[in-house]
Amino acid sequence: MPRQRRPGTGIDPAQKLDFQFDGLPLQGVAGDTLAAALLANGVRVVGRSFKYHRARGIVTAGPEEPNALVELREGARLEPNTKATTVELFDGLSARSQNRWPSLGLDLMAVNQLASPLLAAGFYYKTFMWPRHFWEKLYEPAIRRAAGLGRASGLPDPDSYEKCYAHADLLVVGAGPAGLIAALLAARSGARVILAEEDFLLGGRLLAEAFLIDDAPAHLWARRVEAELETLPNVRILKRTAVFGAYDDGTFGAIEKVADHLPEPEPGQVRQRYWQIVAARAVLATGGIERGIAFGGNDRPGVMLASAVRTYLHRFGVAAASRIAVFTSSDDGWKTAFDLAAAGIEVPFLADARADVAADLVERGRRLGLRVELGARVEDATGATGLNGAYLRSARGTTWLPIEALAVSGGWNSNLGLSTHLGGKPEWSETAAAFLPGKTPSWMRVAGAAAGAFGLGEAFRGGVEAALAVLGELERRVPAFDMPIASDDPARTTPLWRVEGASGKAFVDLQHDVTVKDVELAHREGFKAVEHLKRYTTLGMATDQGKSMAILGQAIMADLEKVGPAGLGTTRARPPQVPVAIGALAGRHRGRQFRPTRLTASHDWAAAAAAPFMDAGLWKRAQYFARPGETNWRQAVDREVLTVRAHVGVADVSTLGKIAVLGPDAGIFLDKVYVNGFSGLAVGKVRYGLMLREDGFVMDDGTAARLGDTDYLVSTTTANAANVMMHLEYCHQVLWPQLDVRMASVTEQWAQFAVAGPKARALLSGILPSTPLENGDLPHMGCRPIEIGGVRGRLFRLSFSGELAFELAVPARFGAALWRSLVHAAETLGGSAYGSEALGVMRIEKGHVGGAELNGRTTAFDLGLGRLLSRKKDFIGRVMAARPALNDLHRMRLVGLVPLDGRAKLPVGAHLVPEGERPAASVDQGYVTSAAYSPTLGHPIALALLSGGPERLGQTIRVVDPLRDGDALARIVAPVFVDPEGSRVLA
Amino acid sequence: MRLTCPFCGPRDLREFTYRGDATLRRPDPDAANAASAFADYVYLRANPRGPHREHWYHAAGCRAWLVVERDTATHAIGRVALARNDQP
Amino acid sequence: MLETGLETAPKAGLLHVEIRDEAILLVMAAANAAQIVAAQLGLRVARASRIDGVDRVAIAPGKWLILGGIDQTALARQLGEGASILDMDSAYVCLSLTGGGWRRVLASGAAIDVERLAPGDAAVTAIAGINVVLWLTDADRLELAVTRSYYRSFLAWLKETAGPDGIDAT
Repeated sequence: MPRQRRPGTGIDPAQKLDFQFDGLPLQGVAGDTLAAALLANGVRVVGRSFKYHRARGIVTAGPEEPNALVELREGARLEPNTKATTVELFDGLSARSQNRWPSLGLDLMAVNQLASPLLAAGFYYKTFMWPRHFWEKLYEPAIRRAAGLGRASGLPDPDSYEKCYAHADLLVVGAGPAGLIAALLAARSGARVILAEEDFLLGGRLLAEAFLIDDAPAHLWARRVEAELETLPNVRILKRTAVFGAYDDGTFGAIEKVADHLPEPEPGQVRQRYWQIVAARAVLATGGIERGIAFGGNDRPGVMLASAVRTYLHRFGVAAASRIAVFTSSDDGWKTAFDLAAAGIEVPFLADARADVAADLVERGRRLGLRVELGARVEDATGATGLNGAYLRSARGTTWLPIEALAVSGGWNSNLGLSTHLGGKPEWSETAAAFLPGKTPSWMRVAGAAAGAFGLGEAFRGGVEAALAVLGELERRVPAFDMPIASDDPARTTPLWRVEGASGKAFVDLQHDVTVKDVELAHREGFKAVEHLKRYTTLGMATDQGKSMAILGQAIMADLEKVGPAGLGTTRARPPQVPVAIGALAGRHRGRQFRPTRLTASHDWAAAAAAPFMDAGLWKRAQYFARPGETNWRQAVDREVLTVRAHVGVADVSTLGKIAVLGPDAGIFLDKVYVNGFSGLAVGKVRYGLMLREDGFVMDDGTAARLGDTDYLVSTTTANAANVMMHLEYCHQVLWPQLDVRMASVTEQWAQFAVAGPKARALLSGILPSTPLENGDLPHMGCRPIEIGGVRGRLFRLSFSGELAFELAVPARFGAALWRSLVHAAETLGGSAYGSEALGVMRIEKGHVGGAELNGRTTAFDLGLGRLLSRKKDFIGRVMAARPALNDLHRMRLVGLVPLDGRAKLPVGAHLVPEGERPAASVDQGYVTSAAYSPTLGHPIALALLSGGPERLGQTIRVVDPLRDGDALARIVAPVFVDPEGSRVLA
Repeated sequence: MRLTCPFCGPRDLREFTYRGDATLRRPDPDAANAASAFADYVYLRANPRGPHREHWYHAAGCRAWLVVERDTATHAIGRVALARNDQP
Repeated sequence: MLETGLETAPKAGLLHVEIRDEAILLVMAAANAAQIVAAQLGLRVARASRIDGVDRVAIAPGKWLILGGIDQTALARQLGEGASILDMDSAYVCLSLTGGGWRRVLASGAAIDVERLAPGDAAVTAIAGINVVLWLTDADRLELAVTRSYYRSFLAWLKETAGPDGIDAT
């Protein structure tokens, strides 16, 4: 039965919204949060607690809510652990309580309470330890089933998300009084301002209190400021946007809930938006969070924070109950009693733990006819399924009084999380009775309640001060403004962390069910440092991050240690300050668009041929081109290899890096980066080159062609293209800036195709009829410019496959057309296209090193390429490559392997151990780097790195692969299996 | 973090690749002590807490190598210069 | 809030994508010749300019892209030993973006200060992880050179990010 809805600063009572909670149809109004609507409908119990399954109700009115975690929506949009206090109610909303079975009212898991002595803090470490093997089979699965509060849908997220970058002169976080006035001043001065507010309305506590500004209700001032900000083109207001992280150099992360308040996003609308904001200056006006008091049964449904009671009353027009008592150790709690009385809601008693309270408060209470008990404490609250009474202890003794709701005020904390992300340690302030922000970077200021200015007038002054300081630094003129006139009333607080003599459970973390006893246990067991206390008891580790209560536990520990909060300190906050959906961080980068892909000129043809693609970095490379009837990849790959070696094949090799190196000193420059010489290379020639790192290990290999006197073209492996480019730029810009050389990556400019096989020349003479291709005109390792169809390209004669081969390069825009011509020409000669798999098989057959051998741990000596190292010139890596240990014969060096039985596979990664020895690390002598079935030879082959390999040719070695149960004997051979003399390339 | 590339202006850190200490000079490979000088050059780093001069590469931008003064304790960025202009 | 290019949500209106199929040259100045070459290319202060329909864009210290019909032989003669010239007409796919709140779309993928981009500005940066060169010769039009192999991915991102009226590119 919905209670009579009073007017509220944030609601429109005329607009009714229907919703469901645990299947029960209820009604709220526009502007409600789910929590407000539930309270308006008299719903007291909204969930069961994590460990003890105690009935729980709504405690706060904001994102610091520890209890009212509901499961929202259904199906793929199901969202567990959503705080009902932050859910904007919409028509048709469906929510369910969590962590209870079979129902909220009857929760069988509540039996956990009987075991509570065993479930105290740290029980995980003490109970599920024996017998050891029970952990994996029994305890862990059981704990996993019982753990957590809500369930995830398990279905793909149907919503889309996006990222957006924004820049500003000033970011103001929080649109309460301090934030609004700071934003207003900065905006009027013309600065670029971004104002971010987590709530769906601007105003902060101006909406939730009975404040007056300039003698009018405070929320009207907020409306006026908002209206002015909206007219200014240099202002961006981000509502429903929580700034979750502060990072170096004025960078902030924020999450905007674009469509969370709608049943579904509109077509094309994102659900949430992840903002990365860069601001020259920032003002954190994130407000304060009230704290509770630890007394027995302080978790009963009906026990709420005093300021939340005011929020529900003023903003939502909801009386949290028909009679609400107050228990406070702060002047602030009295505000609740006065506001309730003014609204005609009965206050059974106001208990202030302090014996000495300001006379004007006491007097006002007396005039209102309130029952005021000074120096009195609530020791225990009773009522398992909802508060039904409280034991109140005063000087006169202890009495049990029947109450259904209790507003508690233990004073205020600063909401300072963002200020600590860059390392500023919060400092305890005795005057504010709270931790306040510590040192922040010069570009970050804190204002308002977040800075300990808990009174309204103070908050305005702080906001203005921050804005003026920022404007001064940005050299902007100060605009005209009127300082709002507001009552100051800073609330005095004498912190009361716990009530001694409580007999029931006194909670310091409602979401994780951590009690005062757990803190005492942690102290006894030696976990006294504040960060140890947190982790041992899980205090403050739940989704509310202990914002309203963790300080109670910390202060109790501080008292036990007799150092006070200043001595113990408080825990460090890290981003994110609020939960952030992973989907929002991913934005558009999900599914196929997780990473960009790079496509070559032949891609569409290959896709149409249904070729599977492998990832080479971001590139997609076609693996093979199956023919009808081929059901297994080996059939296609074997065929392609045999086709190339018998006839001709064409492959797309565009992905290999290509770097143009130009200028008068180009040759000298290449001499410095390659182990061998290039300044003496004749124009029209190509040379294989090896590049080392400065530590003497191989970085990359490739070929460099001299296209002209001052014009070289360097090629790299696909994987290392970017690394080599970076390295060459480093060598030029840092090591040898005096050399006149210019370089540019031209990988994208040129589509490049390999034409390989005995009929390669025949194929090319059809495509390039006027280009002389005989050995005398274009010898092996030569290059020349060509023209094809009016397009200027290049022809290189080099071979990766070991067959007579060429590479033809044209500007990539013509690549697709050229590819089709080449494939057609190949097929008329009995050849075909071939993919990366066949490319790989053939290079292994020839013993050409590839990425697996260039693994960063091999030297030229290891790879049998030591003879390439020039003795006549300096080059990168020369000195370190000469280290004796890098030239030790016992090093693992390149060899070939063939299975002794002619059949066994020798898998990549398999280890080499002596025949007859038990395989163990102590006898490990090397490993297989590349392996393939050689259709040319009819048996598996492998390349491997083996200790002293080249001196052991002909010997037998055992190849073991424990992960895949491989175990075979192999003969050690030279690392070249086909055409060892290399005569076929010279055809 | 943000770096101000002298050519491109202020940019997000993700555009850059870090290399390391920029105060090292490549030793003379023909000197008598080349072996040990190069070993130090390749492997030894002072790793100071505080101001540090280091090389960064503007990989996603103009591809310039930069010398950056960064405080390793506070991440505060000081002077940023093109490496090619910043020879000792 | 007035229209500023600062919209928080994608704007309505078709994002018009026009492919510019033109010659592209990369000019690289010799050591110490960068300022001379810059002056010869008409780029003393600005990073991008359009002269007679030919765009010149500074992309790195001593490096420029030239887009549009230009006599390469004449340019080579003019620059002489002071610079190297490379043909790069296939290295990029060049686009002009107009309408559809392109600034808002750009701000979704590029971390640079999009709002402040003005004619004469150029930037080599990444959009949604894809390397691009971007510049303005006109305040209402964005010029983009997208690294060729990434073009399909870029287009897919653009389609998803554009406002409710989508894009009209192929």
